[in-house]
Amino acid sequence: MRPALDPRTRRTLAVYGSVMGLAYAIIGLLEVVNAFYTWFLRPGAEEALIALPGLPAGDLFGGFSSLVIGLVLLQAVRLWKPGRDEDVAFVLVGSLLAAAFGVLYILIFAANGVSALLAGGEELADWLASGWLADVLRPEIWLFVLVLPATIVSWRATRFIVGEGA
Amino acid sequence: MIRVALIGNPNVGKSLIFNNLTGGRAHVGNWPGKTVEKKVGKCVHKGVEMEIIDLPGVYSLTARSVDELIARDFIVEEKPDVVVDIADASNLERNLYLTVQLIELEANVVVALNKSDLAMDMGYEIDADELSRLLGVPVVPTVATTKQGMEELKDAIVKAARERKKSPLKIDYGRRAEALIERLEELIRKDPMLSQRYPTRWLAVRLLEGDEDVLRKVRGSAVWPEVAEVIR
Amino acid sequence: MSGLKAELGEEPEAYFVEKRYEFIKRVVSRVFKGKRRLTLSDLLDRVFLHRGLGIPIFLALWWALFRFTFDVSAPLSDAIDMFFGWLGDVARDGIANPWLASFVADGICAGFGSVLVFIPPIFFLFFGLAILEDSGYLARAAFVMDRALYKLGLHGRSFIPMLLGFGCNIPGVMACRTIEREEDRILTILVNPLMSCSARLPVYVLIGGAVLGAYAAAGVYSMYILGIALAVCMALLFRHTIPYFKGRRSMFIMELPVYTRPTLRSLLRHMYERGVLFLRKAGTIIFSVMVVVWFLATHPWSATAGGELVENSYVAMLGKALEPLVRPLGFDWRAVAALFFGFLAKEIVVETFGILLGVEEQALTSAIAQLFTPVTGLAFMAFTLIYMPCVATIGVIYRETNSVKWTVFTVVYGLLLAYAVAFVIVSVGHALGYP
Repeated sequence: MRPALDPRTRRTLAVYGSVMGLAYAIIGLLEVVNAFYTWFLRPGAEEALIALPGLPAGDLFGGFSSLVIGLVLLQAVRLWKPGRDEDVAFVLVGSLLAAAFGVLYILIFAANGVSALLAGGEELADWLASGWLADVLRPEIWLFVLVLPATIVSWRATRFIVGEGA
Repeated sequence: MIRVALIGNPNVGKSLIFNNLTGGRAHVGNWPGKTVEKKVGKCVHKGVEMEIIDLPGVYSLTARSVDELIARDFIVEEKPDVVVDIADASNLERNLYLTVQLIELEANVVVALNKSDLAMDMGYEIDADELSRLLGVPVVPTVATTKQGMEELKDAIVKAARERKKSPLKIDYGRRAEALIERLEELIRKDPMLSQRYPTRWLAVRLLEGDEDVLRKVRGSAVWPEVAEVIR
Repeated sequence: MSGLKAELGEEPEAYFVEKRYEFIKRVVSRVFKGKRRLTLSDLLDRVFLHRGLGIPIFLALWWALFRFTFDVSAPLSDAIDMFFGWLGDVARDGIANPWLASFVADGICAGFGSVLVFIPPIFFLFFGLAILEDSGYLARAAFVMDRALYKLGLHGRSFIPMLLGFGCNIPGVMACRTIEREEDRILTILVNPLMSCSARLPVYVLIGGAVLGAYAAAGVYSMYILGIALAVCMALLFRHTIPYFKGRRSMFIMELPVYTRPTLRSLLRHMYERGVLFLRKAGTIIFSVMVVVWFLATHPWSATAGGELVENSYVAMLGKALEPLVRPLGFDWRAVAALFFGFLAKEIVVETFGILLGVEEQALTSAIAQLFTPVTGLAFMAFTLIYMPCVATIGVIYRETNSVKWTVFTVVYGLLLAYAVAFVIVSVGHALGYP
């Protein structure tokens, strides 16, 4: 008989997963709203509709992606009540997706820095003044950091369910 | 000498079983008029000579692809003495689809339930006896990689060739479908060119499914106009 | 068969298949002893193959691939660009012979160099694709897309050839050999060129980067999505309107490989294998065509004042002759000339722009920004995506379909569709108030 996952682990993952899921979903929605505004309603506007530091003004697909990550993580609510242990996969995959995007935005921050350095002059000055901050404060980077513990816990749970095959 | 056809889904271990049976020596050619490879080998077991023909790996016998047509035509036209269906125990549901179609084709089926070791590793077992009872055909568990079950398989093949039992299995397709099948079977029986070459129930079901190859075969028959009425 | 459908309650074929599976399920439940242990693949597939989330996850990962391809490789592209810019200046000032100076500065640096600038994004793209492929995820993406396409009425096994088309349409077209039914196979071949191949990427990056500013990555991404959407729509359209394609379709069965952790070595190897093809193409076709286009763009030598006044060259004559056709789309003679030469290989669109515009002092990107507005630029990108496959792909299509009819059909419908889509983009853009 396959050993069942400890209900306490399930609940921990359920709470952690859903909270992070909600966070991603909200950020995603904000980014999508911003993008709709800057792309369609007020093209070329200088100010974003929702002006939080680090929140991009016109990243429709990025917002959509964060929304997707949020929806995947929110499935963790299934872990609150006893049920299929496979549902742990939602937290695992959700955090893997979060990691993919988190690392991506960190790499983009670095790439922008190198580009600015190469360009020199005005571009470099702009980036050193404010550009780098916007890049580094991208919400998905920090949400990824917060999700890391969930990654570890869900991975351990996965190894438990699958046995040594993982 | 008995003729034994080997069939099964892709990647179930058919080639390995072919090699186990024939000692690895095979005559390789092509299926007539096609570019698909045909392997034929020999095996002698307890005094019985067997010719082993390796059919292409297919998921079903709907005759939509060249591989399926080759396999189906061989079984229907050449009527081998035994058809060994190699099923992957770790993927039973999908593999049984082919088995069921072979039985409907009224082939003389022996099922080799391969990769039984994998199944056990994954924590489950398949009751081969019960499966044999439900399908109406012999089922032999095998592990092709270690040659387990090969002797029992050869015994089963020889026995099946001798006894020529037809499986009593008949899938109930539901009241309406069965009524249509019955009407078609009546029509088919009127034409000996069809009823003597092909199993009538199988033909009826394939007609209802709109099998292009079967439709072509029946169109040349005298009963076609009536058949066309039924399947309209 | 419609009478049968009414009688049985659904498509006859589906009905019988279902009944067989019902029987099999009952049998299996009675012979199965013990519970099958879960594997990591089972767990991961619970999410990646999820009926609702499967496709959104695919779209999100595809977006990540694009940001990676476009934005993370940018510094490297910038470096190459700066190098060729510097080299071009040195050549223009340093080489005495005006003919040779123009050849090096306008032909090699501006033309050929503009294509080499795209080596980083292409390699990054192939690296990212290798991650998705080696991990086993790409098969899941193909599965969820095929599942959706099958529900829409298309046949199975169509998405893998389409995914391959993202690298290059040629292996994509050849991969259609795995499709069972000949009619389905030809249908997939016909729409495969709509999958945006890696040769078109430089065009998107150049135009998108020039006129779309911060939204360049989104513009490039939308080209890929547009390609997929158009491929699906065209396939459905052809299936419903052209009698040849009607009828029962190939079954939808897929073997999914297990998930594995990709090794850095295999990733680099795959990236290299595919990237090297691009380099080889660059070294041969793209370079040779560059010579031809440079020649046509700087001659008659006296008329163009030694390559300065491109408007008087042979290329300009060709472009201006074709210009009336594309003026409603907002393209000018340079754009249509670039499209013309792009028939040979899509990268040559960029190369032609380089030669035609690099003749002036400005950088290529700013020159493009003066040629296109965001709306017309997007329309141009879409036109490049659709208009027709490159000559090599056309050759393969002819070989695989063995029919002049279908090959000509591909070219013709491509041109018509490209024009229509570009026109719609321009019209909608103007209506929304964009210039």
